[in-house]
Amino acid sequence: MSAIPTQPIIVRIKNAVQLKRIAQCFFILFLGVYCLSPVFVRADDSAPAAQRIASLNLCVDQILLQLVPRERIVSLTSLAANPSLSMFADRVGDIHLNRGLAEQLVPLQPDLVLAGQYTDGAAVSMLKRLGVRVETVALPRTLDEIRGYIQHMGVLLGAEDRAEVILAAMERQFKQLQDKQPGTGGGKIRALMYSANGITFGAGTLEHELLTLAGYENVAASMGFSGYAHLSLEHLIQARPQRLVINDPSDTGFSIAQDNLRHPVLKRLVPSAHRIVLPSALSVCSALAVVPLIEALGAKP
Amino acid sequence: MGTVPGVAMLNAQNIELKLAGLPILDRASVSVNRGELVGLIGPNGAGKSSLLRVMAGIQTVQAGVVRWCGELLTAQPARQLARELAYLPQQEVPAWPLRVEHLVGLGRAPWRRSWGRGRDADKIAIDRALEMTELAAFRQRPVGELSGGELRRVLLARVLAGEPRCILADEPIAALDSYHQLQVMEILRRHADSGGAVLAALHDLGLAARFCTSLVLLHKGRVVAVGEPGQVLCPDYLEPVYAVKSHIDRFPQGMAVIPYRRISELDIVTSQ
Amino acid sequence: MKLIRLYLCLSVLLMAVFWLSLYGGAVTLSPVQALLDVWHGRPGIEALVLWEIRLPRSLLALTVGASLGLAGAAMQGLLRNPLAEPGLLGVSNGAALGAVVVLYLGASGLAWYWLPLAAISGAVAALGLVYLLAGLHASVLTLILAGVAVNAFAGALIAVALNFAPNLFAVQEIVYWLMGSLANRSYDHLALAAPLALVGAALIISRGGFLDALSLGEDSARSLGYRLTRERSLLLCGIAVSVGACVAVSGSVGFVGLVVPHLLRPLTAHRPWPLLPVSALGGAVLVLVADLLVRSLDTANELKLGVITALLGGPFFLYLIVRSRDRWV
Repeated sequence: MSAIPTQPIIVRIKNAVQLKRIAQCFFILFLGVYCLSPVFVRADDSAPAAQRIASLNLCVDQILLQLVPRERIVSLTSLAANPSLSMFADRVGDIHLNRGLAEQLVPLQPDLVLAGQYTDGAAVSMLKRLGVRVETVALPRTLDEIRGYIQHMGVLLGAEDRAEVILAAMERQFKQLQDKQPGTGGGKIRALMYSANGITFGAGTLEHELLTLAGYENVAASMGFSGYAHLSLEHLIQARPQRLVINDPSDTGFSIAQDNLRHPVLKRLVPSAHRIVLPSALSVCSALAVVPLIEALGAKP
Repeated sequence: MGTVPGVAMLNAQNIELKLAGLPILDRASVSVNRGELVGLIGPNGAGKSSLLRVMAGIQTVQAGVVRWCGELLTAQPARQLARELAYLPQQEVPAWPLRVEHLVGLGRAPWRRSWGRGRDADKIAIDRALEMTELAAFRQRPVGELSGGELRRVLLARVLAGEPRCILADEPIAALDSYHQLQVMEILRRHADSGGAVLAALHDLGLAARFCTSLVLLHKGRVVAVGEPGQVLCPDYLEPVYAVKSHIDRFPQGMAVIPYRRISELDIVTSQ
Repeated sequence: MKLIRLYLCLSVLLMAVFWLSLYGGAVTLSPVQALLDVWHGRPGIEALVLWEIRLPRSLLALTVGASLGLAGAAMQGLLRNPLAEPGLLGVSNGAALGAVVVLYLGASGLAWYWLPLAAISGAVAALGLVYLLAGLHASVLTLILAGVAVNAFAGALIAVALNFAPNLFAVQEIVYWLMGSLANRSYDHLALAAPLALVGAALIISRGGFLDALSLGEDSARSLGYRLTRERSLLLCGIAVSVGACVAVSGSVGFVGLVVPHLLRPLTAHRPWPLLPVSALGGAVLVLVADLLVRSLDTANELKLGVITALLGGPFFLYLIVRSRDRWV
């Protein structure tokens, strides 16, 4: 018998049956721990919420500005202050703006840095190497993911109440829209969303969900597109949508990519009364702009 | 522009020219009159080409004037002047392999009006020029396929096609064989005889003596002698300028100037 | 006369290709039917597509191709070198820089003429810079070297301008400018480019006699009654104006100004003056064909016009060089 009392169970195994029972015990224990781990995680979060939050991603900037009081934000990306890209540019005030450099964040001693999926990997790994806590946040693509995302962010930032408020407002808006269905007594109105580089939004995209929610028939989906697809101007004309949803092409200055949105034939095809022009800031992080987007879509009958 | 009797057709007076700081022409004066074939002679670097360019109006000078029929050359309208005064450069190779007839046709440029064509007169002039230089058989040949001598004749034909009154030719017979050398000199002499004027820079003193009505000897940018060939082509002028001892022979058809020995510094010292 | 026959053949070819180009595009339609619809004032999808999208695009391709072919022939005649092209002396990059500055920094909205004015000023400024560097009476080699320097400089400035542009797509658009495109062009673009292209063409073609005389050399050209500096500046102005107008609407489309005159020169017996209108016709045909291919190969990422002209022109050019190799020994 060993003088070490830490391994009594193993020393006392005498046959296979006992071995099997011990394995079963472990398995149950393991399952229990696994199932109860959210409890433990929550317990971790019940530790004081981050007070010095920095963001390396424009969409995260905007959710931060919505959920968290400004005193807790130490840095946002410089894009957050650009009104053509950010919906909350007016709320930025004198918050420090960074250009994605680890060097700029370290002196601010953040206790939580949030990065997006596509944020520069070098910046993220540099911050981690310097001992800063970095959380990468995957941005949502569908309405369900949005609900989960807002909740998750609420938890992460210790701002669950604010998150609940936002979610509730969203649900209210959806309900309102669903009650007020635009239509010409019978079929749904056919709408098409057209964007830079001739990209349109087929089935399975957030934009498709929003259009459907607003009561339209997404022409792109009816044409068989799924996901993001390129639609030439000629095909667009052939499809003859009744409503055209585009981003304001002059918002962000000129680009060849958005030149197609200025083509005179669009004006002839769809009169201005039936054209819905969205401010460009809404389309950059469209997942966060769901409410104003739906408002804009639903505005014109 | 008619010629006023007593006024030279083309006259350069006291030309001073410096290129890149180097003096090229020093108070040079040359006159060409109706009926004259003036030969411009002198060793390499004497300034013959530069003087011709000045008199053609394509080189600006520091001092001196060039007059055309008594009036300032630079004051003449370029196109009008080009109809009367033609310049044949020493070394210009056509940039494109044009056909001979097209290249010769370029000489008609001063006569061509902007939108009209005047084709008949052009055609006649081109045909005549090709006949004179015996190039009629080469009409359709691209100039890239011609020999050096043939190309020189084509360029001369270009000048002749313009039907100018005065021709300034820079070494028109270099690279030609004897037959064609004589032919070109005959053409130039005939041009002078029929009321035109020619100023040609020449290296071949024998041919210069044979065909020219007068010679101008140029040395280091200065005119050292002007006169009939017999007067200019003598040892007193030739030896200091060309630095060669030559055998000068007169015979009924002309003169032969045959250099046989270079004059070194030693000879100059010992001869004094 | 042989020349007249050549003009006729090329014109017929151009008309045929133009008609064919009305067939190319995403939507299958019959141009005849569509034209009849337009004539009778019947609104229809085909009529709309043809009239508003395909017709302006084809006309623009014709304008751009003709201008570039013409400018290329003029540049080759002026520099007396068959390898010259309009972009050599920095003209297209200068025009692109002018256009980029006006477009991306927001000035084009001020008035319609800012864009073409800026493009042409950029082209002229680039030319001026080349002459400043090389000297007024420079040799061809010096001019080309100065042109390379100005091209590089203008290209760098384009990148800088786009770097500061407030637009999301600005960065990728440098590449798009350099590849050239006629997608989604309308009558607005045509109204911008066509009058200026005509002015440039008039300036260039009127210098035809000078280019012919220049084959003999500068001294001979002068003695034939041409004032060298005046003719040269008018010619270069014409090149700058027509190339500037094209770049402003289509970006820089390469190879047309190089290959077309080079290819068609033997047909005019190497004469520079007749080569001018011949190159204009040939350039128009080339760009129409290239644009037709772009429209027919409907890929997700639009194939750029400049890519097709390079793919068409490059191998042909190589073939010409190989074939005439022995002539250069």
